[in-house]
Amino acid sequence: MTEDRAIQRRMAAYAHAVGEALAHVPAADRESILEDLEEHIDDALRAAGGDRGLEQLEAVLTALGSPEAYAADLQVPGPAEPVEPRLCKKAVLGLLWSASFVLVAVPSWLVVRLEEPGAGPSLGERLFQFSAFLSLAGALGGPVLSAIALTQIRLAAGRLSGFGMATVGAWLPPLLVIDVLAMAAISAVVEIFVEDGATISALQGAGALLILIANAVFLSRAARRGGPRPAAAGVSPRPGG
Amino acid sequence: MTDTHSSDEQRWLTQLRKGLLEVCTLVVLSQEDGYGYQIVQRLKQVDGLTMNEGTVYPILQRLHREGCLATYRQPSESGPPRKWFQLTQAGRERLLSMIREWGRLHRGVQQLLHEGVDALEEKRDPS
Repeated sequence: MTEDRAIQRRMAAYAHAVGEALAHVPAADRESILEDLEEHIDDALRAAGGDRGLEQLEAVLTALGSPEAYAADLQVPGPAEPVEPRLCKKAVLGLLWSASFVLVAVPSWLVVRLEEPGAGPSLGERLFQFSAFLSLAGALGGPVLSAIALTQIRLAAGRLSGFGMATVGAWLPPLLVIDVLAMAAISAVVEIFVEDGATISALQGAGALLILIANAVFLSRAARRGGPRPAAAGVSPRPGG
Repeated sequence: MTDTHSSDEQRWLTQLRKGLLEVCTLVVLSQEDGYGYQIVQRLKQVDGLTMNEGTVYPILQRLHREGCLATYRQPSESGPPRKWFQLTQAGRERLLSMIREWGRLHRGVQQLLHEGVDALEEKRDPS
């Protein structure tokens, strides 16, 4: 039983080393190679016959070579022009959709609330309502599309750009909801403790400003924190070849 | 060939083999579809093509990414289903072009090597 555990540990350590050596490779490729290696080790142990001891495993791993060798073989020496990252289209669409929720749906809702009930809507009003509906759908669709873009950009390891856009697109509608709740809370608290109308307005204005600044800081930090590593790492030519 | 190469010679051999491993992998898969371990075993039988078995996997991965290979899963007699590799049309075209290039290079280099051997023998004759 203890040897079984030792074998598991040794295999995990080897896989980990290979994963580390392939850190600059797109995640999908890395996982695929690790999967293939696991399959290979399994096949090789089976081919070695009967008992799957630590000794057999060491022999298989020795034949596989150093983890660093894989990394070297994934970067073909030769015409290694740095790949210009392509802008992820989903990131742009996600951001536009999310932004349309903020820029169209919210003002539309205000207009609808303020307008007086009258005769049937004109064609312009219908169009306006339709765009407002689309934008409202953006509250959900924008973040979902942006989240898909974020995943694609991460997996592309530098071949896709637009991370900042996708981050903003993913967070804009939920942030707006949080902002509205925060603003309502601030207004309620201010009205409880302050009586003077002018002071209430000033405090509410300050609260709104504070919320806006918090949004900007949050978005810029989120966009920077998870950003992909520079594209050049995966495609740089090896020195000496 | 024995295993008495100097380290410089060893490095040269490694580079040479590495370049050839890609075309050999394509050739192996042009004969029939194969899975990782099987492909490695086939390549190991090629005289002189000694290598780390692991180096084949990044090559398979790269060829797959470049559209030369397709993959599919098939149950194995023992153990979990295996990933099989299959040559695509693009892979066949790549292989044909590689074989043409290799033929040309081989002829040219062979010619040069003969000249080199002649020159070496001429120099040795007088002494």
